Amino acid sequence: MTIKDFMTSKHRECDHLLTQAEDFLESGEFDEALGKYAAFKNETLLHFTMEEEYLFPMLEEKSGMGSMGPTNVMRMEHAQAKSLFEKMDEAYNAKDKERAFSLGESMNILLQQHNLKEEQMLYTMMNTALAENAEEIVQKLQDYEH
Amino acid sequence: MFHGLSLEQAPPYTVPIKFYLSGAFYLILLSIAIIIYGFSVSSRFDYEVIALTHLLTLGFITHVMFGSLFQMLPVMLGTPYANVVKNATIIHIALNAGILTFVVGFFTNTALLLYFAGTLLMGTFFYFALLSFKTILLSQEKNTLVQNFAASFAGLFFAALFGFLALLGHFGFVDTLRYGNIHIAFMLFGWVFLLIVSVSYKIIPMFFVAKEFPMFVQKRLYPVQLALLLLFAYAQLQEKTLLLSVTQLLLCTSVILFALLSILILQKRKRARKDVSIELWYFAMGNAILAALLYAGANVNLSFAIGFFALFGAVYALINAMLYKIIPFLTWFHLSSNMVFDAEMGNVIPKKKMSIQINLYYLSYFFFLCTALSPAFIIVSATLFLFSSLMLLLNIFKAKKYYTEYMKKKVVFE
Ligand SMILES: [Fe+2]
Ligand SMILES: [Fe+2]
Repeated sequence: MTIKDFMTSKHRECDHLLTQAEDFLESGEFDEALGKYAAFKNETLLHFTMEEEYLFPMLEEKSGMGSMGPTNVMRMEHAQAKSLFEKMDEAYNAKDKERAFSLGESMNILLQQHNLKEEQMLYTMMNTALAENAEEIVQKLQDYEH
Repeated sequence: MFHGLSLEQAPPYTVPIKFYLSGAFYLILLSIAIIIYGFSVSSRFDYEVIALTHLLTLGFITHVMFGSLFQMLPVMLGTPYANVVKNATIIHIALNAGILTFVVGFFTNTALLLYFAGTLLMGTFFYFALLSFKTILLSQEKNTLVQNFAASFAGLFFAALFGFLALLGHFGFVDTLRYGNIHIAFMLFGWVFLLIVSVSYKIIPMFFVAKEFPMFVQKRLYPVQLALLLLFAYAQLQEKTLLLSVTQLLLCTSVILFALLSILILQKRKRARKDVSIELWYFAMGNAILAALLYAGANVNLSFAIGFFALFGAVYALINAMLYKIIPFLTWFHLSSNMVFDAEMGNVIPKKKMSIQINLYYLSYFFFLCTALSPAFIIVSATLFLFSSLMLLLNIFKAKKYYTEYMKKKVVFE
């Protein structure tokens, strides 16, 4: 498995958790919705950590792009997502369906276009630049899960 | 290795918004013009009808498409437009000068204005198509999506060229009808259809967390469509009647198949929540299928009804849906990337205002159908559409105001 494959599959898992949370929300099962939302938030934040603390610095060093290039824009978007999480926490805890959906919509589009950029560019670059240690890196990424 | 790479490709907020506001403004002009001229027109070949149609196509559709491409193409392909602010301004000014002289030229039947408008519009379209081609060529990936976009810009290029030739025909140089038919075919089946197709490949899986379109469709549809269009042009110029009917039928088949496929994919989407944009999508696809069915078996000279279903029923509805997806997101996104985190997408344009506007549009559509019973209904329909368009303009203004107000907070905060 390449870095790109692994990270891309994580994007899909997060997408899936959010849609599950929203399905429960739609049918008024708030406890289940809250549970899925919490899982979505944890998975997403963990994914951000993998990128910000491990993958991005490695790529910056290898490619010589420094920390002010594309990875900086990605970090910025992570911060935007985190600000949305704060609001989503409020909405889910208050069982405010309309607000939760509307924030979920922002979150979904934000993450989709963010993931697209990572999958099309950054992960592709990682596959090339970090090819030698790919196996070891994927192993390390898997360890983050536990 | 990473030359020219940047993830900050999005142009400033004002670039797309300026195009959207102008687009909505032309809808208002269109409604008023229909109220004034609607009674007196009898066929699609009347100069008034040509003017009215282009208020919709050039005034609204082109504005929104250009504005959205300046915004979305860089995100989707990973390459920015060169000098986007300057180029967008040039294109905006030239486009508006072109549209206004074109429309006034047709309403008043003034040759000089039409010459001027035709040259200006063709130049603008060429410039935009070339600029977009250049952007595409710089893209890191030469994938299917890139090729699809390139095909649609090729459609735009030919459509503009034949539109200009058709315009010359109004002064008796060439056979307008033939060139006009090719112009319409390249515009609708080439530029507009292929652009909608390209954007859908990306947007539908993203916004609705739905399945991807099958790869063979993404790979095969656009070359087939371009080949059919070239055959169509050849058959029309050489007056090969049989070939013309066959290509016409096949072009329509592509549209119908794509529309059905998109409905299928949307019905299996994971984000199950229904919203106005999904309803508008179904409505638009229904209209596209209807228009294609009518055109498949019809005379090559597009009738009034087909034009109505294709442009007002399908393309307009799709764009309206897209605007309500994209504007709230853009507004929120630009604010939060300026570290203004209080804004919420759901408050950018109130949901209720959006649905009132869309219902006005549906009503206007319905009363337009009633003109089959009595032509007087055109006034009812146009008046409703005037209100719908005013609301659309106000809703976009609301978004812009929301943006400006929150940006002010940022300054105070610092
Ligand atoms: Fe990321
Ligand atoms: Fe990621």
